[in-house]
Amino acid sequence: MPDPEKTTTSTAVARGSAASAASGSDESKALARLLTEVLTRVQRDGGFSPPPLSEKATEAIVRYQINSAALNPVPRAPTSPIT
Amino acid sequence: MFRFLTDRGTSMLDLSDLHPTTLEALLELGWNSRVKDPTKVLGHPERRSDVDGRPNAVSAPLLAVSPARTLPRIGTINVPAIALDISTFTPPSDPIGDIVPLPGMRKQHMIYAYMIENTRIIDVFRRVLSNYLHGERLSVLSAASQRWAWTTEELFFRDTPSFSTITQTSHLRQNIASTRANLNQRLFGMTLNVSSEQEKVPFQIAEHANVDFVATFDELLHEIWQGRQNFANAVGARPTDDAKIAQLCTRIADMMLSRRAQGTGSREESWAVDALSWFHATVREPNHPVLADLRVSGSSPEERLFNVAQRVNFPAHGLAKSYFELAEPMSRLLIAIESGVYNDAAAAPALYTPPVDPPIPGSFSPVEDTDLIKTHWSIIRGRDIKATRVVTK
Repeated sequence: MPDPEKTTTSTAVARGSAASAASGSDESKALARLLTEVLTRVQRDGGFSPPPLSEKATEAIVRYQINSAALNPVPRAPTSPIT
Repeated sequence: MFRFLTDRGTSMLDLSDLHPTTLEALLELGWNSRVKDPTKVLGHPERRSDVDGRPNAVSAPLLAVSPARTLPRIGTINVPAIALDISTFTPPSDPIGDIVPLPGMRKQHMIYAYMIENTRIIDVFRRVLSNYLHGERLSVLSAASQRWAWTTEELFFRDTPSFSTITQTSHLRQNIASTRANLNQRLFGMTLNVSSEQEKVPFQIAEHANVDFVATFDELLHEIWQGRQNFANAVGARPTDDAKIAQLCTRIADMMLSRRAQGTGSREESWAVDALSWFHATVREPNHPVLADLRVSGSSPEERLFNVAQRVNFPAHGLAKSYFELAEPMSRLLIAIESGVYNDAAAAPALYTPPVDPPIPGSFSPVEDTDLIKTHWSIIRGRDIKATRVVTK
């Protein structure tokens, strides 16, 4: 969940940037539009999500996990009580 | 192997209660039950060696007995169940995809033995045993500790019995520590950090050694750190270089597999890892009788090691915590690199991107391990791999 305090601040900045977009030069309008987009996404999604992993990277993670579970495995079912 | 067994639920208290011949038979079975994928090149992590040890039938009678625990503990130790677990072990499969691992034991990488040995744990326990065998300065040992001391002396401080996988001393190789040092030099171009109170182990220096391993690994961790810092960047600069990560992984995989051609050094690596895991598992067990007899406590393995070291007036390595922390993650990472999965730039993000899918139970992800390795490798190297590089012209 976005921080309410930050949301308020970013809302104000977004409004300000939208206002400057309406009045400034082309360059500042483009910059303001970009800022508005960034802040909108921060407000709406809580930030940017990382690019999705490729199939090869996902497979590499799974292979790593399998190997790690082979080297440091989970306990087998207990066979005799430990006293 | 001993860490594998403790992870599987056999306590170090039970392992310490077993007779050395039973432990030797389990080690032999572990070697014979290693994973062997005929489609992989010999020396690959899933096909370390094609040379088997003593036939399992010879060890079978020893592994069929469930010995009683040393009093005052009661009950028996289910050795047949431990042996069955070793001979039938299969890693978990991918619950979502279709990756099905082959059955068989996987051993830790030689880097595990190197890191644990660097804590000076063997020298600390050598002095503990020597004190107990020659006097009563440290108190006297309980029955359970006597069994542990007997086993430790028998398996790790004398020439091991003939015709076994762990027989690695002879007229040609007179000291097992020298064999480990030789393997460390060949695989990593490194020797142990020796204190002024330790004797330097003489060993034969091999002509062919991976002398650029440390520099290449430094570089790899730096590149992984770049990726970790910037993995979520969707806009702006993204200095991550996946092609370079893949190239460095390929370099490390090539240098390791060159030293392991045809399975060279696999038996020595297996025994080095097993031997160090015995001492590692001992200090990981807070209720171990030998620690109780030494009146040693501590909240972590390194604290317990420091306290044992203090009792015998011999310093453990000051960076023992980092060596302990590095041992298993670095072993897992190097095995993954050696298996070649990161030789492709498309797979490189796996090393710095947290996984989205739920993990396989009990497993570690590459990013968990690389995060930890970056921190502790920087500590033992005395050089921050996260620092921005300064180029001089």
